This record gives sequence, structure tokens and C-alpha cells, in this order.
Amino acid sequence: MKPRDDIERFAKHAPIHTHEMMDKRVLGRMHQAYEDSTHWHAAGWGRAWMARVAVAAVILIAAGTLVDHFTHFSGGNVAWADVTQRFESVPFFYASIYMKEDALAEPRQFELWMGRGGYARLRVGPQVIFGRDGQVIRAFDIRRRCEVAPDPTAADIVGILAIPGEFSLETIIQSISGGKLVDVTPAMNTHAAIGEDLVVFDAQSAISPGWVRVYALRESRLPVGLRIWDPAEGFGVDALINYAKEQPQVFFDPQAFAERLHEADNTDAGLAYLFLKDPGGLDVTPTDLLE
Amino acid sequence: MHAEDRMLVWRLNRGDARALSRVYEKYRDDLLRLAASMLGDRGTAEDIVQDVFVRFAGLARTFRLTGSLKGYLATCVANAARNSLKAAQRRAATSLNEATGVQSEMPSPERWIIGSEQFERVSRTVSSLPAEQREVVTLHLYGDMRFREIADWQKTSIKTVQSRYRYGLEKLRSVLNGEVEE
Repeated sequence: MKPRDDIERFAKHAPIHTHEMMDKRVLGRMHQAYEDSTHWHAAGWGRAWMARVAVAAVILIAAGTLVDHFTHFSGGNVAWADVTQRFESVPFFYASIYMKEDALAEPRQFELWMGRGGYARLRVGPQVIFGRDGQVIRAFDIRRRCEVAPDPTAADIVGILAIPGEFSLETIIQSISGGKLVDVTPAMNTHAAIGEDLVVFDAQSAISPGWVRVYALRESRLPVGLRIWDPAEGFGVDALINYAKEQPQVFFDPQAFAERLHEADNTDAGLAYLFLKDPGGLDVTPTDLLE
Repeated sequence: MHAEDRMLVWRLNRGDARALSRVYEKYRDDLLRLAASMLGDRGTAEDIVQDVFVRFAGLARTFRLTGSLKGYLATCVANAARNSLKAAQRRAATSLNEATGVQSEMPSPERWIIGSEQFERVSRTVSSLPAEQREVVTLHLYGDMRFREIADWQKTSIKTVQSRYRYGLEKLRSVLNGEVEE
């Protein structure tokens, strides 16, 4: 008679293999069932969607175009409503958005300028993209010095600007935060002096461990920073928002940009920020250095 | 509860389909062993395991893990196997052609399991055990379920389950004696 442990091990670890074709078929059916499950489509979660929502959140928070939506879903959080309301009077902003897919990924930077009249300009990688009212007007590749099809994500960002119905703050807050933003300034800023300058709002997702944090100036109520974080995989978005004098109209003019695209003395840096003026009078492009 | 399983379910809840492959790879073999041993019918066992995986995938976005993921999947397989056996018994009672039981070992180009000789012998021997012993042995060995959990599932006492396991294992030992290396 053999020891009991041996017979258990013998039975438990009896070698078994499977046909690869059937494995693929079963996994295919599993993935199909997963995709078909309606909850997913209702909740709208996923990395690509999350990235899109994150950028939309930055834009909408910065633009403050949907105060009513937000006020409604903030559950009467007047302080936060003040923050978004303040934006209605902001004619121009610049956002530098860094997005990384997971903990070890290199972040991808999106630079976004918005001006009056629905004008937008973006830079991502070698592309400069011009948009208006949610439509990409023209896109250029600086390295190749030619007009190109816009980067899909960038085009998506431009599109977000025009579809508040789909990408309203309501959608974003429901999806990311579960609908509530809480003033966490006292917890964040234990140093009283700092707390007097900055107000911090947190929102924890109701359906995931993901969260969003908004930093705003206490006096002016202007948001200056935003972080979205998914602790599971380290997906994150950091955005720095700046406000200043509006850029000259030529900055948003794709035709003016195209006319300078092939100038031999225009460097990559010169084209990436062509016509951009620093409100503080500092040099932005190589051209500024030479003037 | 295994930390990896918690994380897998968490990822599935949030739309990460890649976690499905890990669940599949992690539990496929034991679920196939469990089903094949409970049923003694390879084709039906494969169908049941496939259905359990697909149904789990369909629920994964809202699935809430309260115990062990493997235990959950094993219970699903065991429930389906039980139902299949009852259905086969009903058919056998009404049809002479079905009276040979649930065996359907016809070779098929779509066969999923490639069993070793050792697996074939173990599976055959386990499937010859009385139903209650077979359930306890397979759920404990391949589903990693505790006797208390199996007792709840069989709606009996933990002592009865332990006895069933002991008797089942004795039977396995006597039949497979020559297969076990010291």
C-alpha cells in the first residue's frame, strides 16, 4: 500500500495537455463573451477610453464650459462650482498634459493651446495640429515638413472640444469619480500657510480604485493642476494648466503655419512653437533668440 | 483568497481582457481533470468546461469574488457535471440506445484534451467511484476546495465528506497501486 500523499499527488498531477487550436477557440469565445457583456459598454471603462476621458477632463476643467453639469453632479459642492464658474471668464489657456500607460511607460506629452472663437492648436510628437469648433483643420509633420493626417489621439482631443453632449463633465465625473468631489485641502496641506494658498479637490471612483485630484488657487479659484491616477497599473495623467494673455490670431492660423513650413532656416523648435509669444516676454523659439 | 485571483478579477471588472487568458491558463487543466473524472466522458467534460469559461467571461465585468476563484469555477463545473449525469440517467431510462451511459469516447478532430496514460487511468478510476465519493475527491483534488466547502455544496456534514474522501482515496489507491512510485 502506498502512502496517502503519493496517491493524491499521483492523481492530482496526472499530466494533461490540450490542443492549441481548441485553446484558441475557447479563448476566442471567452473574449467575445466578455466584449458582449453589456455592463462594460455601459460603464465605458478601458485604458483607451480612460486616456480619452483624462484629456477631456483636463480640457473641460480648464475650459470650464460645463459648469451647470458639474454643479448638478457635485451634490451642491459650492466651492467646486466656484472653481469651474471662474473659468467662464478665461479667454485663453495652455495645458501641458503628460500621459503614461503604466508604471514603467515613458509619458507622452500633449501641448494644447485654446483661444477665443473655438480655436485650438496641439503639438504631439512631431505633429502640429490646428482645429476649430471640434474639427481638425490641418495637421503638419515638422520633421517631414509636410501636411499629414492628424495623430488619432490628437484628433480625438480636438473632437472632444466640440462634443460636450458626449463628453460632458457629467460623463467624466460619473465615470471617474462616481459623482463626488471632496475638498481635501486640510488633509493634503498640513502646513496651514500652504493651505491658505491652494485648495485641493479629490474624487475617488465608485467603480475602481482610480482617482482624480484637482489643484486650484484659493483666491482666484483657477485650477492649475490635475492628476488622474490608476493605482492598479500606474496609468496616470498629469496636467499643468496655465493662463495668460491670449496668443495672436496668427498662432491659430494653419495657412500662416503652412507658408513657413518649408523655410530652410526654421528649425524643429521654431516650427513647433511658431508664432507663440511668451506673455512674460521670454524667448520661446530660436527666432526669438535672434531678434 | 489568492492575491493574484483578486487582482485578476479586479482587472476583469475594469475591462482588462488580458486577464481572461491568465484565468484560462491557470485553471484550464484542473477543470478539465475535474470534469473528465466526474463524468468519465471526455466530450461532455470538454463542453462543460468550455461553457463554464465562456459564462464566466460573460459575467467577469460584474463578477464579485467572495471566496476562491478556483473553487467558484470548480463548483460551476461540478454543478454542470451533476446536471449532465442526471440528464444522461434520464435518457438512459427511456432509451435503450442511451443505456450505455455517458461514455462517448469517439475520436474527434476537435478534441481538446490530450491526456497522458496516467491521466487516462486516474480519470477512469475516479469516474468509477460512487457519485458522492467522486464529487468529494474531484472537488478536493482538482478544485482545491476544503471539506467544509464541499460539505456545504453537498448539503451534508463535514464528517461525511471526510469519510467519502477517505473511502474514495482508498479505492483509488487499491486500483492505482501499481502506478504510484515510491
